[in-house]
Amino acid sequence: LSEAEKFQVKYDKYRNKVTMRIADLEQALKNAKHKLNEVNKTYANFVEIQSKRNSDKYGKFNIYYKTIAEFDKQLLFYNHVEEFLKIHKDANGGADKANEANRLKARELKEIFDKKNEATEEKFAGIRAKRTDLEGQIAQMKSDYNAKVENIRASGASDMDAQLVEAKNELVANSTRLVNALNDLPSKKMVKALYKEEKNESKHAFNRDRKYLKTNYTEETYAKQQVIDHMMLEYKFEYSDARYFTEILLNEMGDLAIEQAKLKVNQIENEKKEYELKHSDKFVGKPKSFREQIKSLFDEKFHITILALPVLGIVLMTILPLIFSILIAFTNYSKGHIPPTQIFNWVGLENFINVFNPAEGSMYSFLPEALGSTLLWTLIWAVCATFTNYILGIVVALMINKQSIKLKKLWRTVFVMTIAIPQFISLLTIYNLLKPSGVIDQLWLQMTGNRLGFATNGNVTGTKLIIILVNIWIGIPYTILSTTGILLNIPKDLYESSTVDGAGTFKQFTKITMPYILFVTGPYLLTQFVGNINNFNVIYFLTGGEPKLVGSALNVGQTDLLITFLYKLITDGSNPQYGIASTLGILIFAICAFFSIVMYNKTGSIKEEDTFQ
Amino acid sequence: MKSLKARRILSDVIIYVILGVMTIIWLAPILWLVLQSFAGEGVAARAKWVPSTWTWNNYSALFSNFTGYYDPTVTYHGYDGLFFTWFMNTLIVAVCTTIISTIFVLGTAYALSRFRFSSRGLFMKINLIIGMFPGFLGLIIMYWVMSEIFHLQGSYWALVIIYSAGAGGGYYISKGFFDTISKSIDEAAMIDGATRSQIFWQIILPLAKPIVIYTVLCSFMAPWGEYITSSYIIGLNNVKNWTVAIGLYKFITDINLVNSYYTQFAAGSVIVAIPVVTLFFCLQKYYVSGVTGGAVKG
Repeated sequence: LSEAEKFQVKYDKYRNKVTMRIADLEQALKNAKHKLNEVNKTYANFVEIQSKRNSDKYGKFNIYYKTIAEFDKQLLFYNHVEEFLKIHKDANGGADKANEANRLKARELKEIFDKKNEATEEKFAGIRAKRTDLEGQIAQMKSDYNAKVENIRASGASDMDAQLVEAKNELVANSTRLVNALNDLPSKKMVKALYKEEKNESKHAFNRDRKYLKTNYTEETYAKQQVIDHMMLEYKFEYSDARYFTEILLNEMGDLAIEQAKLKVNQIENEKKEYELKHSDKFVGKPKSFREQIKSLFDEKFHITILALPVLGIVLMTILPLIFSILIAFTNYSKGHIPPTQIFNWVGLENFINVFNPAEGSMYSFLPEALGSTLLWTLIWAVCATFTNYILGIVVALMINKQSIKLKKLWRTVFVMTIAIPQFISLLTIYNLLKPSGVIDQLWLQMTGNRLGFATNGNVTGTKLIIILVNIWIGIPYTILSTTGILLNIPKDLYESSTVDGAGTFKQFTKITMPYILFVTGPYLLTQFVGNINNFNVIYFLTGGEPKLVGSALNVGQTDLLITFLYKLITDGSNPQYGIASTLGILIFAICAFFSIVMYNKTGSIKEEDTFQ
Repeated sequence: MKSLKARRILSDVIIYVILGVMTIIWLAPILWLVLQSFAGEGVAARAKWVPSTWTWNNYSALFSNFTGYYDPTVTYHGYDGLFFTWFMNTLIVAVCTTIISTIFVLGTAYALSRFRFSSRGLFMKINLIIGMFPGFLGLIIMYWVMSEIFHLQGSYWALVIIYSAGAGGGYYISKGFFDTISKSIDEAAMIDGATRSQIFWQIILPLAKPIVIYTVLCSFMAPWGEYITSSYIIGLNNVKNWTVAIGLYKFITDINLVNSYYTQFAAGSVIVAIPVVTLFFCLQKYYVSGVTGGAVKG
């Protein structure tokens, strides 16, 4: 044979081998796939497959699919309750038969198992025998060869060497075939392992099958088992679920099982729908992509986008400073304790003690008295300012809106004018009018012979009265504008019927207009009241708190409100009292909160927010 | 019948008289201020209804020595030449604040009116509680934050931040107005495929034009005439960064200044009031309907 032909033969051999191997592997893959399909079909119903797949794919989102699968399972059960009951009923009386059948089957199984064991033993005995046979042959051949060599050496023939070589060649030729055959057999270790595996497998299979062939069924357990089997075979329930549902079916549902099941189906369907609806935006099959999330920030989550900055601003620039300011009330942050060159520290309730019950002779000993008078004036001021503005504003609004009155726009414009001008300008102007040597002061002097004494110790009560009057000048326009809309909305038929009943204008005002407006503007009144307690501008620009309170170490005046008092405490450049100021701030809050809660409970319209829409 | 008609006429006449008197009372101080701004006799004019000598000098004095910018190397006589700087400062603060806080207020109001989210009630309650604390209690901290963290001590930009940051809390009136706009409009737009953002910008805002203008006006007027925060944050030393409110207040309350600056105060006040009053009268229609539409609901 030439080299080329030799190569060709070798190549063909090799190719055949590889092709066969590939075919083998492909077959194995096909089998595996088939097997996998079978496993999937047998051991998991479709929802679980889906749930599993999704849970692998989307991690935390699988809760949704789990819940849905749970609902589906329950629906599946409750939808087929009738069927299950029928099976339970049919199974009645079959226990003995089943026991007998199972006993037979078990015996059969045992036989099959024994046979299989025998077959295995036989198979492996054959393999082992083959090996020992080959080994024996090789050993025989070796001993034959040795004997032959002995013989040849003993004979001492002249062609002894040639004979020896021949014998050796013969041995090699024979033994190579045997050794190759021996090598082709699986190794001893492998045979042992294969044997063990096959034995175990058949043993497990037997045990598994034997387990289900119960022979100790009572009527009850047999019927139950039938139902469980049916659930598992027909509806692919897991064993644990099937057992659970069977317990429910037999122990909890009782006689009216079918009716109950129908109700239950409705209920669960509703729950499922609700759940799906509730999570529809979060779990539409898969989590949202980044782009979709951004998009949703301009759609169903637009409130997050639009509230982010305002809320951040309120938290950082309003709430946090407020919290720190409140904390300052519990420190000695004040002149002599201002960082970074000095240190301030917690002092507990010292500031509160200084405000309400200071030590005799300390610099704060004037505080309770000053605070008392300031507080009293603040409350009087808030009540007077709120109600004068409110009532007079409504009266003027009624006058302007009276049908027979012309030039409505002109009157309204006059009042809007005072809103348009910045308050500090109008208030400082009025201050200039009232001030000693101001025009009104001069006029007063000419009329009464006395000076007006605005913001001086000579006329404290008068000053307070004037402040309230000036506040009417400032505040009425706002009330007029706010109540105009409400007045236009009062149902007209109320007035008509009351006129028929003989009610006069005044009576209509007290019996119809006021109650209606009071109801609708309750919240407005509350805001106004709180706003007036904190009304800084009017006092600060008109009097600046003057005249000064006699005997006060700090710069507090007799017309100061709590709020201007507080402002003076923190802006007093030479001796700022931050701790005391914060204490006053908390006090103001307490007062406002108190009135708010009282009013809140009295007025209905705050609570019924959504009824307006 | 005749007596009834007579009574009606009588009551009308009484109302006209009352309204007339009120008009005089309400306009008198404003008119007086304008007259004072033309007074030639200085602080002595305060004692007269009508000044005896007339002059434009009060106005020209406000802008005298004015070089267009504040030059720290020049020694100023009093506050001469600073008014224009203050005016521009105030304008910058007011315009910036208006833009930011209008968006904040309307956005917050829309979100609270149209969306129902979990922390909504909490937010509204907290906002209500904040409103009961005196507003400038936080100023002590604010002053520190502005100077130490933002390094804006004495700068009017600090005012822009302070005015607009917390603006979202004043959503009440706008929300009341948005509540009156029917939700079915939103729903109809949503069916047509509009997003919530499009609904807000293209449907609700045009419908809520009165409240938008009302919010713009209020946001502009608040910093325009604001004194407490600005005086505390900017401080009395940073003269060139003052707003008009601080300057004019200083003119009239400083005993050393009031004699020479009284009439300039009047002139300055008129100048400060003119832009707002003009704005107000142009947009009065919207302001009124904004207040009457939104305030009712609190």
